[in-house]
Amino acid sequence: MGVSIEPDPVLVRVENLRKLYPLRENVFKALFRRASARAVHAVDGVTFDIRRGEVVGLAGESGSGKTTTGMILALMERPTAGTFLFEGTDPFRLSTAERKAFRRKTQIIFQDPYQTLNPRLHVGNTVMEPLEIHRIGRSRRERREKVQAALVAAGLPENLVDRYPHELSGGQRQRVAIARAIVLEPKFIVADEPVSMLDVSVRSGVMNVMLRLKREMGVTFLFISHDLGVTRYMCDRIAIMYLGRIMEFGTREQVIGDPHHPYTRILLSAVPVPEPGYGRKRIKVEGEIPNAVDLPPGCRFAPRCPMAGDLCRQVEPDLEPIGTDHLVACHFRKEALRPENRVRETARA
Amino acid sequence: MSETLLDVRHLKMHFRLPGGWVRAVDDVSFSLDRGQTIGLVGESGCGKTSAALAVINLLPENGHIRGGEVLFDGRNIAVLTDEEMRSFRWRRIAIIFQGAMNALNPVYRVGDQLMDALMLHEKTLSRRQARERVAGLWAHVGLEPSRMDHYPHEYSGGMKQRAMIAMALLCNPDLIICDEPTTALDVVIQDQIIEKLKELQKEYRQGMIIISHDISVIAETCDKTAVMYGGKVVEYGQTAEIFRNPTHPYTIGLLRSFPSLHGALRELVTIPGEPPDLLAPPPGCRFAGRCPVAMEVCRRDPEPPARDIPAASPPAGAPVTAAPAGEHQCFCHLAGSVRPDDIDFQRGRWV
Repeated sequence: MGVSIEPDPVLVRVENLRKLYPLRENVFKALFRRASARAVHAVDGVTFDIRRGEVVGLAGESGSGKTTTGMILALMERPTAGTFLFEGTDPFRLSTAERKAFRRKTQIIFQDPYQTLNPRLHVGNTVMEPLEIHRIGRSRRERREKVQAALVAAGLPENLVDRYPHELSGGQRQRVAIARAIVLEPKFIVADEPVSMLDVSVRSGVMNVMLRLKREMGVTFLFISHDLGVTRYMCDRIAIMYLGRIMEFGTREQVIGDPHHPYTRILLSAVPVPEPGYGRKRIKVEGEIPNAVDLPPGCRFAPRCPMAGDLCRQVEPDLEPIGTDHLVACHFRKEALRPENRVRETARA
Repeated sequence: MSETLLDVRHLKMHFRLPGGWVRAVDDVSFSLDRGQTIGLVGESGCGKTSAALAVINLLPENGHIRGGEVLFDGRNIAVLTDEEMRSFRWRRIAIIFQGAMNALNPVYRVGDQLMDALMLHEKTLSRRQARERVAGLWAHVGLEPSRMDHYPHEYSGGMKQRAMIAMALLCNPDLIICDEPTTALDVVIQDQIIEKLKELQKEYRQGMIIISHDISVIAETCDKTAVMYGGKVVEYGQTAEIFRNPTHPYTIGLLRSFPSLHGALRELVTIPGEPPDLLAPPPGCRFAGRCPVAMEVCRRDPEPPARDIPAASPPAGAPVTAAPAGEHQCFCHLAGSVRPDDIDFQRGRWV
């Protein structure tokens, strides 16, 4: 009897990932402060995994570190510490040549389709460029066929091939960016706010294209967005980030429908509802997300948290499970489960 | 109690280009009572910002009002000279521009900038009096008074937006126009700003025009809504009515393409195609080219006239309030005979 080897269901594994950007203070300060160089803790100990064929969302406010995390996973930034494994390999330990070959497996889609397309290349060449860089396809005809297939998969009419970016609408440009990303048939795509600049009626089309790529081609996504409605629509699992750390991670139903971390609840309660007279209950919060240079001791959300106690201001909580797939970084994660505490929290709203 | 503050009638504002006139605002009508908020909602290029700029006659050189009137407190302000309008603006009508937080001068203290603006409009004020007035507003919009002496770069985005709201309130205007007031802000800050605007409005009872592409912001803040498309209002009325009973295919598409955090997760629709070229708009309905249920008559002039939509029956349990007639209008030949679930946007046809 042969032993069948199941492929590891986890495609991407990230453990204790850190990215610090040292502050360039002036010479004078540097002289007297010597070794104690301060840094922006953009990503500060992030652990999660992405399974094959799923869309994992990173959500949070500006400055939460979601884009930096995405840049590391797209191999565009080197982490300061921690591990990043893609199919069990750490791409940052590969040689340059090996890493180039590796890059084919991961692609990225950026927010601004007006800035990420070369204005001098028409659509066909834009989408063909990755094939040429990686020397894929034996003939020009073969490449052209791949380009056509990618354009169709991105929902673009084929006659757009010889158009230039300025002739396209925002939605079309973002579809070109998607076509350029999928022409290499990557396993994994980091999509960083891919629909934030698009109008609502166009945005849904671009999201549906990505969901179809996931469904029909098995592409795995890391989907970064500040918009929780968009995140809910796109993602199987969602991580809520705050100041470089994950506060809560779980399935869409768990994080949106049954949030446990006070920050997640505050974030969700701030989203306006497109139903007049819905009577949304806000949970009030003081202040704004602070800078990631001088982090408070203990839980980094404690200074703004309506529930914080002494423990929260001293000990940083780890991301710990409270149910299958559902992780929360809060000392109150268990207490928060008790109904009476929930009532108390809503009464505060 | 109905006290009409603003009555915009058949307003036309076009931009002159070498190739002709861009009909950015084309026969737009809406009205607003004191203490009321109206939302202008639509996508990029639909004319919502242009409509607001036309209301206060703050137009680029090639923008011309080519018809209609803007009755403000019963007086047509569309015909005022620049000089007359200048004293009108800010005192009676203030505007918070899109990305206004970037409009603060980086080399002056924020408080000083507001004091200068105030003293320009109320020339009798001494510097000390101006400072007191500004300091009072500071607390009102939720800023620390000590912040007055800080520079814009020491402010976060939310704080700058609060300062801009304070600036708009300086002369206690009757009407405030907010162009995408929260678009660049994070959700928690957005929520704080929206709450603040509503709170201030309750207190000062100004009229407010909110321009937004975000239907959820409109749903929560506006008493009335005008849905705009291609330089025209396509649906207009009480916000609750429009959201409960959308009748224009464009409104229906807009509502069904919005990803909400609440309710069942259903596939979002996409409206295929592109908005019309306003330099040479197609005859008939401007939306016909993208409308899944367009008929022959929709592509012919004249444009579909306004139709009154009877108030939808409120959901069970809700208090019964009869909406007065004329409170919900739809500019569509099919108005009233097409329901949201009748349209298949994906295949572009009736279900």
